Amino acid sequence: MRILVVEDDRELSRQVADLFRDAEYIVDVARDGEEGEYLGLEEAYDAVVLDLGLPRIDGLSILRRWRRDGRVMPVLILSARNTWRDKVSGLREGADDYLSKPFELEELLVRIEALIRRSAGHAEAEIRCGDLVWNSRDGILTLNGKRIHLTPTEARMGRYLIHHAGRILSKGELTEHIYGTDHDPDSNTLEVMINRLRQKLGRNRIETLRGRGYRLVDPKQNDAVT
Amino acid sequence: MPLPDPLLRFRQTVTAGNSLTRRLMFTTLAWVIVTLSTASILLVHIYFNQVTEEFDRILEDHLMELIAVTTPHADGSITVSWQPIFPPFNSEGSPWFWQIRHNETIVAGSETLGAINPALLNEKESSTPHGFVVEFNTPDGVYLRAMSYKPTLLPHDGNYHFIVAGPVDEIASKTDALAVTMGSTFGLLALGLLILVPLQIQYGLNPLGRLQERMVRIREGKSNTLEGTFPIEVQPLVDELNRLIEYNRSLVIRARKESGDLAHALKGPIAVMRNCSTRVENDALRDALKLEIHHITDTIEHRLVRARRTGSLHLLGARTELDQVADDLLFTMEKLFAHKRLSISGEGFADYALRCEPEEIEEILGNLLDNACKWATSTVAISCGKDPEGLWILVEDDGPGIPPSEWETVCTRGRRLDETTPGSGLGLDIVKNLIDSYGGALTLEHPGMGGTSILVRLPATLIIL
Repeated sequence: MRILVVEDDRELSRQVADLFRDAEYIVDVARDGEEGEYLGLEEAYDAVVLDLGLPRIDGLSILRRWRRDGRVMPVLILSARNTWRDKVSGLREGADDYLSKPFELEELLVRIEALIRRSAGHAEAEIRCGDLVWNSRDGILTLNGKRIHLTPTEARMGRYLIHHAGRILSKGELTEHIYGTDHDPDSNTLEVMINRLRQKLGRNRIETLRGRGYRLVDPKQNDAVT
Repeated sequence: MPLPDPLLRFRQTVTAGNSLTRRLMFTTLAWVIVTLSTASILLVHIYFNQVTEEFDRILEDHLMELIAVTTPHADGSITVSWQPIFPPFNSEGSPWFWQIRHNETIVAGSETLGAINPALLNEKESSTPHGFVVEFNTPDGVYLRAMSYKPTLLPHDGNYHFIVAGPVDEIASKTDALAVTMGSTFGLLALGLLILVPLQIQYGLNPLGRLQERMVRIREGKSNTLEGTFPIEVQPLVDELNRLIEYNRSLVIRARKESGDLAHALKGPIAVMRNCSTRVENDALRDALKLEIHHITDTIEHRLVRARRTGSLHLLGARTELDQVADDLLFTMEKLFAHKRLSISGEGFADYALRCEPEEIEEILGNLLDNACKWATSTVAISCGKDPEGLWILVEDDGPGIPPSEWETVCTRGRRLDETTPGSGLGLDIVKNLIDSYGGALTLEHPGMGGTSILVRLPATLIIL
């Protein structure tokens, strides 16, 4: 999962970025409006934390541009401006949530995770794919009620797959959301990671669709269909 | 019988101590009286002079005619070859007469009046090219104006004295007739002006009335600028007022921007400090830091609210469409509390507009709705209506509610309704202060939905009809 933090306060942006990295997210940080707008337009993010009072381009203008250009990722506005007029304007421009500064880091994390979940069509904190369950509150993956221990990268992969269960995910999309832009797309790290997850979750849970990508499925449902 | 409204208003205006209408009325009255009186006197005087000149010319014509037809003889007698045919010279008792004297003895003359005291005729009053004019009373009390001349007659010159006279009354009667005509005409004119002046004043002051109407529209929030064009004498005043209103508004906008910038400058570092404080391992130190940061945050928030409100409380032209505010806030709550999947509804706002800034009402209703949504289990409702006391807005939720024992303290500073839920919502005390500043009231009601019911009352004077 990949998050963009657009915040001009150096220390605050570091704290927020650390918060998400600790929660196994890939984080990009932009410290001015221009860079933030560019990253939001060019890269694929699962969520964005956007400040309003930014140098060069203000947050509302960035949001307007993203939405106009069809960028639909969930956006949480994190701003010192906390009048209801500010909140109404931000949400009317296409933001999905609004958090006023100062704030609890935990609350920011909870809200971003809820946004990511909802944007993938999941209303509850627990996301299920058959008997595989991802609990977004504590970040634990269980299979048949038993906790599956995952490395940070496996956790990112597992979380992304279960958020988009049933959907075909291309290698490029997975790479972008699991590793960020620094990863070499030609390396076979992704295949290795898929195999490791298959070993922990069961081979038939992650389908390979040749030339198209991977898909997380509920094997019992598949069996019932066949 | 009571006077009709416009007349009553006019009478009140005229009798008021400091009234433009009264000033204009009195100055116009004085001007009309002085001008018409001076004009009358001047015109009568000019006419009198003209009539007198005309009278003198008649006397002189007859005098010259008499001299021309008179032939003197060596013995002092004369022959008048032609008698004047001017009828008044020949009517008995007529005040018109002519005489020719030799050594002041009448040798010829009309028979209209008896002998006239010769001494009177020696009085020189004024000279003409051919003689002297004199005015005198006859023994019968007739006041006459005479022209006398002592020409040199050839071939037997002697002490001849020619006199032609007529009644001064003829001059006076003509002048009096003019004075009467003029007096009545000018009197009617003055009366007409006095009737027309109030209408003229009313017409002239009409733009000020329109200006007042426009100002009322601004005060009532129906407009935020003085619209329309005014006469060139009033337009500069209108332009200045518009500039003043705009300046007033710009102060509020600037105050809001400054408070926004200040919030941005302060709250970022406070957020950093707050996050850092959570990592302090010493419990006492961590709690102390958190408490102080909370105090700083609370103080800044209150000060910023005050700064934002600078001048906005009675901002001219302010108007809030309640349905727009309700629509915006319901949309915002739906998004902010999407995870709770609440049923949030609003009704009754479409008919009302308030004479205040939308931001103020948004702060009041936004905070109340925010608290309601945080506590609600499944339902939040906001409704609005009007009764004889003014406008009421009821915010209800089906959450756990507030025990009646805490109703009194819930609006004290530092106490938040959302203390146990995360967020940075303002305390109810700020909401209450905002409502108080409009002369309204906030009360907790017995819940209709099982949770909390907060009733906001705003005075009827705030409603734009």
